[in-house]
Amino acid sequence: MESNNFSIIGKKTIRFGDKQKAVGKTVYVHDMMLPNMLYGKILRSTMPHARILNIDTTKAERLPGVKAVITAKSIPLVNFGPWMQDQTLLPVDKVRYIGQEVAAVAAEDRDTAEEACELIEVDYEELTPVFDPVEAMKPEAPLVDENLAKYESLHPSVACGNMASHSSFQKGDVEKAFEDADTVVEETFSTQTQHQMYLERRVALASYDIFLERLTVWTSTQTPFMTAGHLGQVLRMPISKIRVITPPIGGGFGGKANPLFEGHTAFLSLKTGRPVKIELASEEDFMCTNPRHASVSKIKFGAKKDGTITAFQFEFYLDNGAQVFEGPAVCDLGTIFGRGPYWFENYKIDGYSVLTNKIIAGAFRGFGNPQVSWARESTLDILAEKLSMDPLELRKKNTIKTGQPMVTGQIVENSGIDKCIRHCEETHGIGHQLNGENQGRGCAFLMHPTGLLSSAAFVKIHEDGSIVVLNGAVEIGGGQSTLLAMIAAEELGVPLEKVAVVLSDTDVTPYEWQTVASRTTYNSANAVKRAAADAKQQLLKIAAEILGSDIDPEELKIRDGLIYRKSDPEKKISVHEVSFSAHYIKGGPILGRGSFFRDEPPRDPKIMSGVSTAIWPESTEGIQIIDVEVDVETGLVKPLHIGFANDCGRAINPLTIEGQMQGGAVQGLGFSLMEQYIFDNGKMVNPSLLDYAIPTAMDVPTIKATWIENPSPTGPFGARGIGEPALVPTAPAIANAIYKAVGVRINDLPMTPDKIIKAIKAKKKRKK
Amino acid sequence: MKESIVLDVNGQEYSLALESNRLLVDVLREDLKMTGTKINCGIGVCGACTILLDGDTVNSCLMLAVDAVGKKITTIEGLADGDQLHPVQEAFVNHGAIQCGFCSPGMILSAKALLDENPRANELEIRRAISGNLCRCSGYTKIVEAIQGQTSLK
Amino acid sequence: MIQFDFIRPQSIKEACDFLDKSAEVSKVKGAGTSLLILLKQGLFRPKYLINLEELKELRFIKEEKDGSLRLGALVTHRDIETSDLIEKKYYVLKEMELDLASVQVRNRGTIGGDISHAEPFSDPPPVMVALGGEAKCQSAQGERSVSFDDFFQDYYETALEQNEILTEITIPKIHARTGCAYIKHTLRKAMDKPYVGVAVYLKLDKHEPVCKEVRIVLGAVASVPIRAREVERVLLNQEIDESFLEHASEKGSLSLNKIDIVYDMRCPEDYKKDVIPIIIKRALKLAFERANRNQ
Repeated sequence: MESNNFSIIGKKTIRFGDKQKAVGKTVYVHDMMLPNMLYGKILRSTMPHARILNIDTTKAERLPGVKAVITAKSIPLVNFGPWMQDQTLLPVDKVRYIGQEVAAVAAEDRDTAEEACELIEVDYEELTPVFDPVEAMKPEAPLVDENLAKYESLHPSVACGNMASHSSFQKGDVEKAFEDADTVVEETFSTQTQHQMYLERRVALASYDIFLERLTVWTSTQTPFMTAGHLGQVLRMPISKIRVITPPIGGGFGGKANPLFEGHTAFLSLKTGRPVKIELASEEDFMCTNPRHASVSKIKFGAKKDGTITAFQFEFYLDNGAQVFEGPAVCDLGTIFGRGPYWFENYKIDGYSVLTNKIIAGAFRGFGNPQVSWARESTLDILAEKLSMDPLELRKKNTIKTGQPMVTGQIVENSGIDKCIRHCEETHGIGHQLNGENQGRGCAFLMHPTGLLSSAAFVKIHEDGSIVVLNGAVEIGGGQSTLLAMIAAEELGVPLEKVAVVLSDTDVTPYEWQTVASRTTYNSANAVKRAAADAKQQLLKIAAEILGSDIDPEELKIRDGLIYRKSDPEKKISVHEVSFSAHYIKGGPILGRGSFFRDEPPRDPKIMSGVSTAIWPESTEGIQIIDVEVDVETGLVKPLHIGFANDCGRAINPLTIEGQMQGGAVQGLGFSLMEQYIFDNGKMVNPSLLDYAIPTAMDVPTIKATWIENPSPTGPFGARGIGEPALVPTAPAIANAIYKAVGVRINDLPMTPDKIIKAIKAKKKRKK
Repeated sequence: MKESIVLDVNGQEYSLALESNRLLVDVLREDLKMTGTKINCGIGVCGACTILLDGDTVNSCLMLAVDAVGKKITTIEGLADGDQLHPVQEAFVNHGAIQCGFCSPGMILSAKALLDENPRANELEIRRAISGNLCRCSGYTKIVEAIQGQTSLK
Repeated sequence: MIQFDFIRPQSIKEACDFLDKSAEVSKVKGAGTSLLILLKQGLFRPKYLINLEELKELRFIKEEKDGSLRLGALVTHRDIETSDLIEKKYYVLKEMELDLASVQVRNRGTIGGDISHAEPFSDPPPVMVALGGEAKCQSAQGERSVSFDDFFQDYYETALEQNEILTEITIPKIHARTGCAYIKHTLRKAMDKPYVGVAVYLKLDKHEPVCKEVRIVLGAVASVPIRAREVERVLLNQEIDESFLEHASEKGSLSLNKIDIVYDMRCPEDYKKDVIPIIIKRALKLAFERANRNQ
């Protein structure tokens, strides 16, 4: 699996910053304290749907130690939202979910801030809530937002009633194809709300300097730039007067991909003239952030006797929660990748995001793909059984090939799925079955996008030849800075030790949309590679001039910090000398600039509707093979082993890739078997780590994570991002394994023991 | 009621005047500025607040500072010797067992406590010993490998 | 968190005396691992916190001449987990501790604190009842022993009066031909409080595999530990083997369908009812195995 012909990439590299993390010296926003700092706290709605009649903050304002109280009346209100502009920082007329921000306070200490919130009196008039997305689609359902159709939106999908968005793709004639098919299977599935459970709770620290008239915000976010843009919008300030700085964060997984209460924190700082820190309590983090969309779906396959799938119909509904937020984008991804790494002649795919009076769902690793893959990969096994075919053989028959289009029309430039299958046959025993009692092996395939929107980077060269890479990515745990340093060092031809990386500071580093979607390996790295190439050109131009008037920069190469003529290596000069010369003699300091934004493919309105133009530029494929043992008396599912192969294009830092794949698979384990929000009238009633179960070290089996290198034509050195997809196929792989083990199929996640027992009992009854 | 107490942290004594309701984790982080110990759940489940008390792991979010008087507290800051990492810390770094790093201080201390008591711990014993430290990034595999590398059963 | 005066009694007598004068406004603290959570949540607002943690006199594990075991209330879960004596002669107590919470919690949490807290989803209570143990309750007026059969009265309510402190637990000798087991059924392999916990005490005839005495106690099913009396009735004085144990578990558990299962948001009631006979069967088999080995 090791890459060759590269000096730096492809080698296991100890990550920058890990030593500091090991000794506990990394300063997260969680750890930050500023002199004169106040503590903020948000008062939240206790009603799922209610009109706000009155908010009385008098008692809170009078409490000693309280320095500011804000409500919708005390701040200018601007509509915002990542797609539809349906949100305001604080509500004017009504609250739409339990946990919604209603007011905020800043006080000298945490206890006083908490007490102040308790003293704020809110009069509500209860309205009828709706909690289920399918119910919410009915014409008689109460409206979560009566103005839904009126807001401005950056997304082409039309919203109406409680339907926030509808993305769809179609090709051919599915109805006819179903009629002509030899076999048809139809199933329904559901998935639950899942929390990212990053260990560093969401936290922001805002400090407005009244003399500089500048706002600085430190926030645990995956998107300092979106946050700065958001703050500029809600505070009505130019972004140049706002600086958002993000140190390494304690996990994100998408849960920090959007601004949340930075605006509230900033307003409190503006009003008090002092720094204000708001950190969510553990319960709050569960109840008031943006977990994964729950879903229900209907799926139908039609196939010929030989296993060729001729018809695919898929309809899914995402439980969006009370505001539109990322619903349209999650819908987009679900519909685009709902078909998976396969190609079918005829298909009709419809995704809906629907408002309900519950917690606002948002981005979480997978972003719609786990939900749709759950339905698809489970049903493929069901179809295989009906066709009397091996599930692997059925999949093999339908994989997408290089040159075939995705549902968007975008051509797959270098399909890796077939190579992945061969690799899994050699390395992971795919297709073999287990012999033990109540044991089974199941597999599931994934196809997931990488990269989205734009990135930029600078590479600057100090006078001594050392390098600094500047990029807006965030160190979220995936070894972002190490990766970018390796890319720059490889491109420039300098030793890795000479490269430093500065990340995630909106004043200093150039724009980076978000650190999500495996973008760092694809987008940010591409921008850094271009910036390094640009710096390299400048270096070589100056070097050529110094080395001799007859030398063309094209003739020069850089290796280990030394620039030399390829045809005459004795003609050489160090990067150090060239840079020094540039600074003090001629040319000027070297600054490489790179920007990356992959061109959008042409859109064909005949095949898609309601889908954003921001279509993912590249993708990766992979396979998980999971062994389980089922205790048929208690319903407990014991995972025995996870085998996982992914196409990483080109492995930049092998040390990180394995960890990412393993970590993601374990999140998938949680999604499959144990994690869920338990709702009672719109309220999450298990908002604690005791009652919201995530896997412990004892719950994890052996994991063998491997990769193939199937280069992306557009990825930096061929790399594809693999940070995100690791949990996409886990649930269906486990469901398929359970079916092999004990002959029962669960269609609703999580597959908790009570559901297994129920299914086993039902099977016994049917047998009788 | 404010009390004058002395806390022994990483071999050094600190005199503090504290309200008796102050949590040990808050005193370490805010009064002594040792922010290596983290807080997440506050109910003794996640283990991010793990410290060693007379060599045994405990959740500092469920301890009053006054409870720690007369005991030897070791935080993550007390493990390295100058710029020399403790072998367990070194192992975590070399094995890629650190991702976001937030669970790492507590995890490393749990690993150290285990290895001090049971240098030949097997995989099951390792997993059991760290089951009170939740990690969301790594899936635990590399953490277990890092600790296994430190056991005498190599 | 609310402010309080932190009281440091130097002896159990001092603690009882102070509690006697201030019962309405005091809370007694062992390690405080459960208590602190409740204080953080604002569920209690005591004026005084009476700290017992430093009372070494309450932290002991002693085998008496008659073979009974005495545990001081401040013995930690970890003390029990790592005690050689307990491993040899009262293994079921170690079994109870192995997957209780986490190492961090076990290092400080005390058996007395856990039992006085009387949480329905807790491991020790059914084990204490199964072993036929007794709790020593001490106050300024004196001390009394309460059988664990009577100790747990309702959710978070025990036989302890407001001015009493649990100071000691006594477990009668586990004789030859007796086997005990505790099986805790959970979703995860660590950290979880029990979904169903079954503690079994099974005594066989000196020579034959005939059940002379049996106590089967369920935890996490009702508000207090409850005996599976129907299963016990089926077993008593019968010759037993593995399949009879299975039969007894199934038959006897039918009556358990009528009990009021305590609300547990983690799983449906039906699931607990389905699983109870399974865990009873498994615990009985384990206890039977141990009884046979314990000559």
